[in-house]
Amino acid sequence: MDASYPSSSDARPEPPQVNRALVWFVLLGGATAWTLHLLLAYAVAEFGCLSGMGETRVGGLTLVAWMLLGVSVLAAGIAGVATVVSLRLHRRIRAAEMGGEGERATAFSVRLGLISNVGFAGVIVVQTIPIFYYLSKC
Amino acid sequence: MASGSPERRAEFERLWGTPPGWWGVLVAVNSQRLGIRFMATASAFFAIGGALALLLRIQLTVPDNTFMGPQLYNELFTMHGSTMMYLFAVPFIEGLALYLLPFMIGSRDVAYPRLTAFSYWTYLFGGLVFYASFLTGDVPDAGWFAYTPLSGPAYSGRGLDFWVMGLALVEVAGIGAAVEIVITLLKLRAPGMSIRRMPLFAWTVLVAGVMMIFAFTVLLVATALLELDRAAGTRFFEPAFGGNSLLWQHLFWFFGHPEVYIMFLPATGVISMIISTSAQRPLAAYSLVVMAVMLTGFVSFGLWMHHMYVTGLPELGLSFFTAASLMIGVASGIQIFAWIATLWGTRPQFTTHFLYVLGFFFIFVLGGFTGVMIAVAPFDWQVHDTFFIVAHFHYVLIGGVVFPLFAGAHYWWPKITGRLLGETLGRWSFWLTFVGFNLTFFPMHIMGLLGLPRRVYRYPASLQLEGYNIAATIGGFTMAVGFVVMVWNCCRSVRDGASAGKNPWQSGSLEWSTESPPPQFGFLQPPVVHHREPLWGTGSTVSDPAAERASAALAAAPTDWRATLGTDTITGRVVAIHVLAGLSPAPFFAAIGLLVAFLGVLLKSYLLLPLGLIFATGCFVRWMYPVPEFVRILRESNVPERAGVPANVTGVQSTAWCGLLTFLIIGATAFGALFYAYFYLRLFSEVWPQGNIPLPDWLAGGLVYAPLLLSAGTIRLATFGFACESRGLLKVGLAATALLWVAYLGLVTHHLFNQTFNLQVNAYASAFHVISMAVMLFVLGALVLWSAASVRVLRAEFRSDFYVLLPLQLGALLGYFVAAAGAAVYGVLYLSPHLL
Repeated sequence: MDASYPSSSDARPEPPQVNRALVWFVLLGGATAWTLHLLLAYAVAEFGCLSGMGETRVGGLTLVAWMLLGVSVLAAGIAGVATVVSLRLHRRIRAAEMGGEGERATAFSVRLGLISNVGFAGVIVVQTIPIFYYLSKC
Repeated sequence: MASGSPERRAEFERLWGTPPGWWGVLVAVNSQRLGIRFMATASAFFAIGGALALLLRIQLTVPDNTFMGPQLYNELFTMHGSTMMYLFAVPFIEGLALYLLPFMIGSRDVAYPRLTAFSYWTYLFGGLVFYASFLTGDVPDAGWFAYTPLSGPAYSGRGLDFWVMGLALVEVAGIGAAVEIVITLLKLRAPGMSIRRMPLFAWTVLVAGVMMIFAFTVLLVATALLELDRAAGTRFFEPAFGGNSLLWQHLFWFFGHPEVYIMFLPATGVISMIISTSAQRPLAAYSLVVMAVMLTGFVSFGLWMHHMYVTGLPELGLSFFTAASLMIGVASGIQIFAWIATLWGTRPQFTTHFLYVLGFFFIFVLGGFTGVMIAVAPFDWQVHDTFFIVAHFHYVLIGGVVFPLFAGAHYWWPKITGRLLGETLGRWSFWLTFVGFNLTFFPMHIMGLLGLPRRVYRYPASLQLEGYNIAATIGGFTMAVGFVVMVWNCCRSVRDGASAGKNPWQSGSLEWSTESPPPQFGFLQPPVVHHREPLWGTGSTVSDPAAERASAALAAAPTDWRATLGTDTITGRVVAIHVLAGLSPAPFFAAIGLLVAFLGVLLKSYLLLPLGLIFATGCFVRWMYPVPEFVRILRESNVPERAGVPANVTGVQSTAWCGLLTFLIIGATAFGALFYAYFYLRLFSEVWPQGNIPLPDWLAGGLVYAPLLLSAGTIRLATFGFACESRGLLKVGLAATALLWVAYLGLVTHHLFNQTFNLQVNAYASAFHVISMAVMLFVLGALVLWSAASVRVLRAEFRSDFYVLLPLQLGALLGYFVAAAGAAVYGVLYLSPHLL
């Protein structure tokens, strides 16, 4: 349940103004990264392996493996950025005193984003592990 | 909260009421009425589907049984699965959500009441089309998944047409209900109900609604392609003509796996609400549970291939899906631990609904456990298509969906009917169902491990499985007796059950603040929310003068048009008064039009197809076109001034704009599915285009699609003309856009007719023609909307209100979409063959 609200007359830091687009990025950044990772990884694995790219080797690894590693780094990067942004935003909001429900709702969204970004980053890492078993074959 | 003077209340009852008799049945749009209809109809289908299951159990009781033959067995298991998956579980959840959500979030109704009515009628007609197959003797027999080529024209008769047409209607209904639920939750929450104060049931239904929008659209595309193969001779799934049977499986399971979570997530929402009430404390780890729900919703789309482990896909691809399959268990685990933490140290009352919750725990955890087992590809290879899988998904679906729904039915029954259910009969029904369920399905794990295949109508005595099968059949009938006891309990409750009062369980959520049963307007004075559990809220609260003012204004008026408050999606700040649609027969007749169109395909009377669609379109236009007198009343109303917020808002704040945006997301998903089909077919073709078809002429294609791209500029010209109140620019923009679209339709029709190949030649030709025609359909729709908007805009002054500006905004939004779709289709059809 909600705690009681503080008096607005106290001299405390003003609630930070948070860009709405940033809140949506924080909320959905990790999820988008994961979606990107799964769809691209599937497309590369399915289309790459069947089209013969699984036979072409560069530096000991198949072209498919290189592409999958690239996709994984890209997706993990997006999820990582979303996590870092949500962490910084979370700290910034937590440092300020929340005035009304609007700020509290934004803080909640950021916290939700932080947790889900960590979760999705975890899923991306788990989905990347199998690639290392298929570096030289499909 | 529904208080006020008797006169005021009578005025609201007159405004929000539904007339008696058959006319009232046809024109009703109230979400309570329609929610109950959804649940009642779904329950009827559940009873029929259950009866079919008992017939299947009788057949399998003893080895080499001759109770029924293989054809009837195929038909019955197809109809059993289809009924439970398409006609019972999701529609029941939709009904529960449509009934409860307005009360739970403090709204008077849902965002588009007429869409709810349309969804109900299409759902009912879809179900009737499914079962009409028994009347003609052409019963679907290819399973609830209808794998090709078995479901293709070569191996399946008209029964599959019943299946496809019935399913298509049910999908339309499902998508409509999903849009309704999502926009209602995003736009119509009570003032103060910010994103962090949404009840968990609302969260789960929101996520499930978003999932339905994507998953059902892909299935709709898949079934359309299947019916085109069957009726129009296209070749999407015919390998002999460059098609691919596995394409169906990909599209189907992209729907099919999320479908499980579309059913399961709202069920977890029910569990969360009941556990919180039973423990008399807020749910533990609210943020984590919301995150787990979102994670489940997203990741469930990444699991479709774990139904296809034995189809010979590359091992590397399978490994991603194994990883995702294992991760989803983590999200479910978070919810389970949150429920345990909530109950920890409390002394819950063991009421019937709580018993069903405990039953859910036991059964679903077992189902989840076997789910993790079959997520591992090598294990799945061993048990695929055996009774182990049958046992697993019944543990998940009955444990994870049906038990929570029964819990929810017992929990909210007093709110819906105003009467309590009998506890003694409730306990009997629970124990009979629980014991019967485990007796039926647990032995199936063993039978599956011993090698008994599913979907086979008999087995030899040498397998020595008779004992397990007899137990399963006894369990099935025991479960059926449990269901009958529950129905008897409901009948007794309606007849002479004890009065429930407002809040018999001392729950904290907002729906329990209304009378039982609630009035049709829900809240005479819209509530202002200060706590996540508004009825348990204690301590001081910051007053919200803007919300209080808007709420008070709506308690007094209007009494001649339906209205509710709209709030900001994240903060719950009151931002608008939304006008809600009233009684209308148009949704019913629109559904009739759609039914006629689909029956035209089914009966191969193809003239009925355009006639039905034109009739339905006319009904849609009538449904949405405002009555001039009504517009005058709204414009003269002083309610917005008294409430301090505008009514009839435009742009992103309006529910109409958000609804159209959602429709465009559905359209984009449909094009995504078509593009996926195109490139999937491309992957498995040695030459592309297939056969002797030449490479498409990118210059000629560019000329065909150029009008669509140019229309983006003329749309901008029209909106600019409106903004700067230049009638000349406005007229040029409106007319040029319409002319460009007409030119496109003419050019593309000429282009398609002058191709050297028709859509039956091979899979490439089918994809080329069907994708082109999909764009044409969208452009036709845009032309109708743009024409209506043009008439409205040119007749009126330059008013920036709901009835002038909004239609232009909607027409422009759809216009930009068709321009983008045209560009994408041009790239795929005319450029990609030169590059890939």
